[in-house]
Amino acid sequence: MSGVGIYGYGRYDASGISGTRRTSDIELMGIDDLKWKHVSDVTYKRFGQLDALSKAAMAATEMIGISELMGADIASETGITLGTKDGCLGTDIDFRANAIERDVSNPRLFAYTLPSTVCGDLAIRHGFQGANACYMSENDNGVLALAEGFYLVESGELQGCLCLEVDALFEESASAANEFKMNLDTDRFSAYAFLLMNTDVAAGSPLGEFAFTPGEDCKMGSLRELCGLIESRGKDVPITKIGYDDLAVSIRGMER
Amino acid sequence: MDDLISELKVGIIKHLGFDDMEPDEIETDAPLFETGLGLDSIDALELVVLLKESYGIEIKDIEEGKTIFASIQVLSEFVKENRQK
Repeated sequence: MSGVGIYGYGRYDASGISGTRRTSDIELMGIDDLKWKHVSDVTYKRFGQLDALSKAAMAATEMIGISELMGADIASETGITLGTKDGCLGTDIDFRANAIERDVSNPRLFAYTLPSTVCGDLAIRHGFQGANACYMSENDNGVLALAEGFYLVESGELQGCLCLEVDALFEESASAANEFKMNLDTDRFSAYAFLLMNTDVAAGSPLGEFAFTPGEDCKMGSLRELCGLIESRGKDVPITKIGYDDLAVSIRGMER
Repeated sequence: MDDLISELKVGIIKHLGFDDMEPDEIETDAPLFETGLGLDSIDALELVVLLKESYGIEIKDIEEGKTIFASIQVLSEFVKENRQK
């Protein structure tokens, strides 16, 4: 009987860049200093054109090593779900500040004044042609993205789903925001990416598999916590429950 | 390398955000769109902004843009003939 498994993860946050297939050996660097060559050996000349949110998402996703996990046939039936608290707020502020400073608005920045543009960038890079969804909320947005991804794969709508929780807001944007009478926390960026796949089509063993077996559950509230659990446990992370009611991912037999 | 051609290549890299590219990697006679550098429609808008801000040239007709942006060589000849700055 087919199931849904987590076959890869990637992280880019204040603790560094890491993931299933690749670990960056560079020292932690902020978004402004991050170049594509720090993340991957494969050419991707458009990385410099991305806004901060897309760069963070792209860097975390690259740590999964998607091309090693699926071919073009599965990629065409893979979708993306994205959870974000701040969305494209940083880019919105940059766009407004740029438009005031110059005679013309920046067309590239304008394209990124929409948080779901992240999904588009990822879909183009990895050949994903499945459904996309973007969720913005103060809390639980990452777990919601993971829950939706799980149901899309479990229902057979998709063969795979890239589920992300991403936020990027930086000092420069916050300074510009102050000129617009907004008070923002500064310098926070985090990106957590998980690749879910139908266990029938995936090669190899999953890092964690969703299994509805009752047990002693440990609920988590964020994908950052799931990342931490996978990194500390390696494989064999039995996820027992995920649902909309409590918006939490439950891990069997784990201490929080 | 012709100074203007070099200047255009540096300008394209800077304004279009190709951080990891060097000017020498852009072929002077290669197409800018689809093949060659593989620019897209938003890059085209950025080039229009670049021409206005750096050379005082306004592109008002999108069809004109398709001809002008055929290659760096074609673009440099257009800029030489029409620049205001």
